[in-house]
Amino acid sequence: MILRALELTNFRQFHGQQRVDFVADERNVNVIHGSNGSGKTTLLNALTWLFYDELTLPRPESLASERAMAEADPGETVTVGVTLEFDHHGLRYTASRMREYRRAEAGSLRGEQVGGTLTLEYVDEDGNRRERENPQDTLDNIVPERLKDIFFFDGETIDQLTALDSQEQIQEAIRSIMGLEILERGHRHLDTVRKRFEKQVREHGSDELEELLSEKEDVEEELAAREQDIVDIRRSVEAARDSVAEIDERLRQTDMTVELQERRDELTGRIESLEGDLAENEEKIERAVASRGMVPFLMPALEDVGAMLDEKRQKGEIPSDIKTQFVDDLLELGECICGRPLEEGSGPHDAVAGWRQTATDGEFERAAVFVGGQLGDVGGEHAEYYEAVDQLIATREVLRERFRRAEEGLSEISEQVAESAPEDVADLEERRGELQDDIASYNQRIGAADDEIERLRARKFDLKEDIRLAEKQSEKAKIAARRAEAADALAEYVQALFEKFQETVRRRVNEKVNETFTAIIAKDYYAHITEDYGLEILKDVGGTDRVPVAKSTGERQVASLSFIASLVDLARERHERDEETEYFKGGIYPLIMDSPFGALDPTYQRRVSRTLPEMSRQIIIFVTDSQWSEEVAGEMREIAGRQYRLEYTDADEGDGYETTDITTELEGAVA
Amino acid sequence: MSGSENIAIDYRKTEVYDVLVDQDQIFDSYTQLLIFAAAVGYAHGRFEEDVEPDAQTKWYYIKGDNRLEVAIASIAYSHSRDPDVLTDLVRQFDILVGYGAGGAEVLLEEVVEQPGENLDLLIQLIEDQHDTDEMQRQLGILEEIDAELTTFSSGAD
Repeated sequence: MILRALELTNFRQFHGQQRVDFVADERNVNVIHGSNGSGKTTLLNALTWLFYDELTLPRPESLASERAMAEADPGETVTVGVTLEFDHHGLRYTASRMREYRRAEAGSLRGEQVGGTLTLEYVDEDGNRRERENPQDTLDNIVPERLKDIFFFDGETIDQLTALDSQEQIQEAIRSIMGLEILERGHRHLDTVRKRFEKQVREHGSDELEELLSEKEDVEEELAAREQDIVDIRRSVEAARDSVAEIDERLRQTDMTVELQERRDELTGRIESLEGDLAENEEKIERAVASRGMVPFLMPALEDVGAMLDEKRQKGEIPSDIKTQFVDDLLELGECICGRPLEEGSGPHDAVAGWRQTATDGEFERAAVFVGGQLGDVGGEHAEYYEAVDQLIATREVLRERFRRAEEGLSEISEQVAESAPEDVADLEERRGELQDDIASYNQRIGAADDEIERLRARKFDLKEDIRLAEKQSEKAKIAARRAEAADALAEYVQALFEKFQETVRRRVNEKVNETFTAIIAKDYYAHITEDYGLEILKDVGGTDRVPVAKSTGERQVASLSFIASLVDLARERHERDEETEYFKGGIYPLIMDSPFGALDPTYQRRVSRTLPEMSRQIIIFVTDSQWSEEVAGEMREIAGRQYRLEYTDADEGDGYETTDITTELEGAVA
Repeated sequence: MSGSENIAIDYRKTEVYDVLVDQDQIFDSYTQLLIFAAAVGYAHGRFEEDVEPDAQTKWYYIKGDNRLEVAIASIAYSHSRDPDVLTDLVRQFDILVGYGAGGAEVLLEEVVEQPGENLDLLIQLIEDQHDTDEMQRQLGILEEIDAELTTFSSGAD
């Protein structure tokens, strides 16, 4: 979707008809200037009203311009409307939401709504103007309502995307923009279908079957509850980690604790690195035990088989120059290879028959050669195994000792901070210790819930098998059961597909977010979408490890901006990729932002301004004069294709009604 | 052995398999543990006749892994003392399954049911085998010396 023009008719303080034209060419940035309260947010609301009939402004019922209502005589109607021209998937659309208000009486500006329409026209391939029959559905398909905070976003609150309770919003945004909700809906639908068939099975099946199905339902509910528990606990872990990071940041900035905190950061990094080394070491030990650990037990057997083969070799039985089958063929043919007849009972016959003593069949010889050839290698692993495991265990001891010392170091630092620092800092340290305990306790609960989930899944698996057997008892139940099974199998498949796609998309968004974030942020910080969809900011610690950091509002805003830009860019990539995609249709979307530079310091303002035009094919920003700082203007002036100014007149200054006029801005590029 | 890839090996899969493969993930597969257990059972002289199977693996999971093939063949020969067993996969598997069941019991008693980390207990079990081997080697030397001494004393009479 590329916006072409927005026309307002008596919409709130925008009196009469006012129009904004947008560009999306090489100079793809459109700027709307306006002071605080001049109507920037109202303009953004005009778009959400058009698309979703929704306003997030005070007095949402007062849609009509007060001045227009005042100009109308009692009984006369005033038209209020928003019209948007835009291009989408190769078609030019005109969406228009109009509402008629009749002025009730002379002493009041209130109007009664007497009519309203929503139309969506488009020009088809032949140039004919046509109208969509379901304009609301079509608009919702073009920009789904659940994505409105992404596409029409308020820069003042954008940092909320990095807040802890934003995982769902982020997850939903990722699913929606990539079309994954189709699979989600499919799964939900199949689950409903399965339950309906299972009900039929219960109606036609035995008591035993009913009990089994009922237990399965209970197990499924329990399973869903435990899975939700894990999601909730993980959020608590994230919250606690964030709080620890905030405390660490404060300790870093406190003179008395700065050195101790630096030492703690270093030790924390070392512990994480040691955890990785220990896990890697453990895996190597497991591999050695599983693959070569059997050899010591096998040694007597290897010696036995080796001795037997050796004996046969010494006797000349292996390798044999002659094969049993060859001797048998000669005897059956009755003629030796030298041409002499081999008559039974004759000397030559007995001589040839005697060859069978030293002949072997080919199969045995092949087996003997194979086993004999491997004995040395396998036997040689005996000493290798002990040597390798001894070495690995020695390494493990060293790593464990280092780990223990690092943990002791952390504990000492904690004591030193508590003892040497002023009371408020000591309190912080105490709180930090409590949070660490909480995290450990949460992780234990996650482990317990994981075990319970595993047990419930195993029980569900067994129940499904029992149900399958019980269902065979009744014909009707059998048919319903087959259908339920089919729905279940399909639901599982769709779910697996959904999870796979979702994870792929999360990883891709993760890459993009970090790419954009690191291009803007100067420090060694990284933006990261966690496995449970938190938008996190990490920092290098100890060279190789990254830990979550306390975030300044500016960094949060950049992380959120990077996330939104990544989604828009990915949707564009999918759309432009020339391949048949059933689920990921993607699309071209503009970035429409109210106050995107709000909380940024001048350095970030410049960097965001530099990066912004590359984030989408069309950028529309609303800024105050203070936000249009030298840093921002310096970067954007040349690539701003259109600039408008909202001229606000207070009710006390003009004709008694507050109004905003949209005028073209003459600085730099003009409308 | 051609055309034999599909031969099934029916074995008894006990709790030990759930713990060491699924839970602790020390072994990559049930088949890998079956052969390990057979080696343990063989070394401990624990062979079970007429095992009642409740799980199955296939020869093609094993074929191509020289170490596993040699382990199965060697145990089978050492048990049967019949060279022809090297070409008889079905008999090799019967012996494998018998020692596998016995070895799984040893693993249950010595590893799974013991307090401590299963990986460490497994390492200890293998280490004990090392000590046993060493003891037997020393015993062998003592026996040779003893035999030498006997010969010597007979000659002296």
